[in-house]
Amino acid sequence: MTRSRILLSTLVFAGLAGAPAVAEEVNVYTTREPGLFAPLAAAFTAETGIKVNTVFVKDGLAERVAAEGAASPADLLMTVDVGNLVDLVDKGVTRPLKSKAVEAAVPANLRAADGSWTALSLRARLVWADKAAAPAAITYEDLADPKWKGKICIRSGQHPYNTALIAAMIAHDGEAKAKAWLAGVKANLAKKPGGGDRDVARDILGGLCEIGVGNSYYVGLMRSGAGGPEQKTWGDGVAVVLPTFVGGGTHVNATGAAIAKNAPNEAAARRLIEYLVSPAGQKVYAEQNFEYPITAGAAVTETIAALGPLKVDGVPLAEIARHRKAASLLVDEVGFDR
Amino acid sequence: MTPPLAPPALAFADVRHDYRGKTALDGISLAVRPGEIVALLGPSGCGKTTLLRIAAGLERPRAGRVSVADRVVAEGDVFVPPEKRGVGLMFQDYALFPHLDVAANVAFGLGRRPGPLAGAIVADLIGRVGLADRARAYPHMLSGGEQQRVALARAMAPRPSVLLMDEPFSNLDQRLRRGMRAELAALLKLTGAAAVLVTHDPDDAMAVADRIALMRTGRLVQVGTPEEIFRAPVDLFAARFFTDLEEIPATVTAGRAETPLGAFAARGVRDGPALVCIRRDAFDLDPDVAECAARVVATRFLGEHRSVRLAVDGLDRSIEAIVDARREIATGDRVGLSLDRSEVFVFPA
Amino acid sequence: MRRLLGSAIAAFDGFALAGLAVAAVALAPIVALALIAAHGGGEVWRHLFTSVVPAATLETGLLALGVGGFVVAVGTASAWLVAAHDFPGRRLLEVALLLPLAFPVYVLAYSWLDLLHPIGPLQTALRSLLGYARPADFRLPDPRSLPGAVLIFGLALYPYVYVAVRTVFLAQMTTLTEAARMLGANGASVFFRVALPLARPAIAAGAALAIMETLNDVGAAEFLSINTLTAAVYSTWVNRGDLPGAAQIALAMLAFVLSLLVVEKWARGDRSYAVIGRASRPLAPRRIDGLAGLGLFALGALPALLGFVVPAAHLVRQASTRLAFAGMPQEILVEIGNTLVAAALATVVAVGLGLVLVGGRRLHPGSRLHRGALRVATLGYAVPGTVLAIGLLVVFGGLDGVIREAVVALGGRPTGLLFSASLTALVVAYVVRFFRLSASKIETGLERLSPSLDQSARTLGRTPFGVLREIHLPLLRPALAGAALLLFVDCMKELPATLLLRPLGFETLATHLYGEAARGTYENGALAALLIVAFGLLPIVVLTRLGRPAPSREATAEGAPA
Repeated sequence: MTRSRILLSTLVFAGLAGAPAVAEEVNVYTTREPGLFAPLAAAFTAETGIKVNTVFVKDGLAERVAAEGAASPADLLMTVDVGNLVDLVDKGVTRPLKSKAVEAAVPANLRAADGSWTALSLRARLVWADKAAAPAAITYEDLADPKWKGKICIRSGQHPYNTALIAAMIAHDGEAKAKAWLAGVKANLAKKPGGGDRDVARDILGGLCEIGVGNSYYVGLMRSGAGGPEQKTWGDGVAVVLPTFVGGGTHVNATGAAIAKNAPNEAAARRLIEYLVSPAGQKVYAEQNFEYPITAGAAVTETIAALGPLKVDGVPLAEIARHRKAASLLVDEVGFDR
Repeated sequence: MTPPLAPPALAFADVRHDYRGKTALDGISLAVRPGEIVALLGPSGCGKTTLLRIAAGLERPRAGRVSVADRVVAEGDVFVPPEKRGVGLMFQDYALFPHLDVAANVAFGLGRRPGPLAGAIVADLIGRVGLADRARAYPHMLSGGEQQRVALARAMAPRPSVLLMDEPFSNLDQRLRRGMRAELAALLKLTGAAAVLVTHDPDDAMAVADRIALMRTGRLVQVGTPEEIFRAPVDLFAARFFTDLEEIPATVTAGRAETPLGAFAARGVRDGPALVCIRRDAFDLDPDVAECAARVVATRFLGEHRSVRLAVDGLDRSIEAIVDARREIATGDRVGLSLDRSEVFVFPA
Repeated sequence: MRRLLGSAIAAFDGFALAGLAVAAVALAPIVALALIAAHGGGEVWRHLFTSVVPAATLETGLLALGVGGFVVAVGTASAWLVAAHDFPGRRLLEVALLLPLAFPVYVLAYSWLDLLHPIGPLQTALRSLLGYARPADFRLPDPRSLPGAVLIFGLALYPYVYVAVRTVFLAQMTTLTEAARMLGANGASVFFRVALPLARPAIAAGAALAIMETLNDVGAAEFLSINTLTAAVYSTWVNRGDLPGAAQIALAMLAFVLSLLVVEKWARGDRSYAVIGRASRPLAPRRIDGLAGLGLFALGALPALLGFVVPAAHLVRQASTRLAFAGMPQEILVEIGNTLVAAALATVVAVGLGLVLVGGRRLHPGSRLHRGALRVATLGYAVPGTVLAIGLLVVFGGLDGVIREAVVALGGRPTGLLFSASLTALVVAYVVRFFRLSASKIETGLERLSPSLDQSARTLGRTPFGVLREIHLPLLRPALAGAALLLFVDCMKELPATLLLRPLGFETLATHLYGEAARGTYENGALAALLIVAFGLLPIVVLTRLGRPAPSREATAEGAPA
């Protein structure tokens, strides 16, 4: 019985793989939450008439695309973190994009020099705090200071957002100092790392900790009421501070995209990327997703603007990406999640 | 011989009980003397097991009083639970603890931390029931008879003043049964405990009991020694219970019943239709003085007896007689019959 | 050796072939894991086994120990409470104590986390009651800890012990309890000297099931910030894309499970605890009325309240709030459909294969081939879902690669991912994981049918397959229905394997819930959680029907005791 099903599946999929594209469309493989990309896709289709097929791949994007090989229908690969994007490039499943529009719109430190990938939007890793105990300003290094002992909430150290932050710390101060800093933060934790960024706000309100770390767009999502009345109370109940590195700026991670190596609809994919970095696309990022646009001069939405001006840290994203693996190992060595 | 003024080891006074809306016991009063063995005998559903369980404390009577020695254990609001009554119960399916060996089973009733004498008591009892070499065996390794003996030893170990037994022989085959009956009676007399055993088999009751309490539908029909009940059954049911009978319809007039087999005295029986009940070994074939004549229709050799089917003038069906096996009787023989009057009873129909 | 081979060849038939195929599929993931783990670079291995595995093993061990202790204590005590005592509300309690079975552990964790949060409903109400204004002034301990996890896992899993022990108590305890009481043992003495020793095999079996469920879970451990081996396997793959690393930890997990099974066998002991003689009458429990009776009811109701009533009520409230705010999410219908389809396919395959394998063994009694194949095929239940999924990922990835090479060599276009991330992969995972359920139920049902039925059918001219079809199948219908129901619901609730193997864009109710909890948007998942619990209630209905065993029926048939 199992055998005939295998046979059937083979035939069906072999047939599907050979079907040619009929109308203009572009296939996007993304690790972003479908809900966050949908507005962008809708806006693109409205403007160009090109259909966008989104496939949400939670894990193993690189392996999946590599395994699909030449028959892969993926045109555009989108990730929530540049580190993941660089992984894709390293695994050889992307192809470079030469686009004047992209080169003009995106600052040099937010895209690959050879055009193999580009960032699309930014989110800052911020410090959220109990309104009574909120500092006026804080550095990331400060988080390891013993004065915060037993007061910090954060999500799992192995989560990409955090490993990116740790990687940035490595880029700033070197691996040894970063390890010491991480150990210091661990000593300050109020509870074991876990949950998501939104849980941090909830826990602060619940008196479990006084400060925590979370991404900027969550603040927008919560405070705007898009997540429901309960989340609005969380968002409104915490104070938000834009932290900086000592002698640097605020750590950001970027969503980004790259063209897939065997993209069947390369032209459509190029148009999509160019739309996303255009003022129209960046506006959607800012207003619907509460993210920071990457193009100079583009406006942020009110809720985010109210947090204060963003000074992006100088370390290039590509360099941060290089240290990601070391950061992940550090998390294990320090026993951060235990 | 126990002094007559000692309180009974176990006494029921007007005990009543029902079960799922039906009356199970309808006013039972019975006293068991210390050291006496009483059998509760009756057909299935007569209430004997219910009475036993009430004595044990596993059921609470709806009305009446139960006392053990001079202590009331059940009456109205008073109720002493089974673990405090000092009464032993041997279950029909033995209920041996499968996770304990024979010695541990027997020792169970001697308490969580048995004293120094416990070992000796257990060994003594196990020896008495003939299982000394099986002391370390587990219940599932024992035969039915062996399990029964363990159950007995276990019930006796705490030296209860009353030992209750629920159908002690029903799970044994015929041969084992006969041996066990004698053993049990001897053991009980040795310990001096009073005992009440429940059985549906009259032979069991007669082999073991000092007195038999015959029950039917929740009532006591007759209480007496085996000989008393056997010789003078109080009604048709009592008579039928112990042996098979040849029952001949007849009419009683002025204290006498006329049948083709002869006329029989019917003292105390009112005039009218009656049944003349004759025990099958009441027949004497070819006696010196014959009362009537019969023709042998069939005979069968049964080992210790011979069964003879007789046709008698005036009776519309043949009757069966049980005679000594050594009598040479053949089908077709004409024989004379006389009856032992002590084995004939007349009851109203 | 030759004799073994000879007998194997003699017994080889269609059934044997099927058996071998299923056994091979069940073994493949484990073999694949071993192979891939061996491939992994030494650097990774060293890092994992110094930094990750020891702590995760310790945490897993402590969790297993704690949960084991909890379920044994609560499950046995509850079973004794309802079996040996009669108090007002006892009948209701007997069934209510089963209800937590409807909650998969991750749903219970999800519900209680939401409920117990310092600004959640429970603590807010508590604070207003006690007059505290801010959470910082008064706060209950955080359930996101090992003790909290032990409690939540324990509440979800104690019914495994409860059911097993209650069955023993109801079937065996009647005359044994009475015998013990007649010998002077009071309530506590009866429990410790008779009931508990007798229940030991059942307790061991129930506890083993509970601990295996604990090891299998990936959602609850993550929500509760517990670093179990399973969470480590999952995180190594998802966050780092490191398949060899994940495979190595997975193998460590398997070793853990194997040692658990050895301990269970030891704890079960080898005493024969079969009932001697027949159970003559239903248990006449000790009647306890009045205040003491109500106290007993309240005590016994505690696990049911905490394990079902309170979290279920919370879910209902959250779901209705969400529905009022955002309306019915469109995806939920698709998710329900996906869940049902995957579960239904797996159920049909598993039950069908179960029939073939168990039937095949029946037709060839004494054939080591058939028996061995069946044994191996049922190994899947011992393998935690995450481990199995990783193994299958490797197997299917390899299979896809082989097919791709072959097709390319034959001149065709390269095929993509055929089996990895397909419905086939998911169904295979479910079948391998839950096959034992189907096989054991069918086996029990078949045992009740005397072999003389088979033999007479054969003498009347039926082939072996005909016997299966015309004799076994109709008579096995209740067993098959029971197996199908339990299997179906287990597939619906499954999370770890589903997360890793599902086709792109394929969400089940379970994965939806997990996603929302992982994002911290608890309320959005409440509807999915509620649906899972509702479906989870179905097998409980079946269980309660089977709960009260034969003795009560015999008593009614024979009338009043004589």
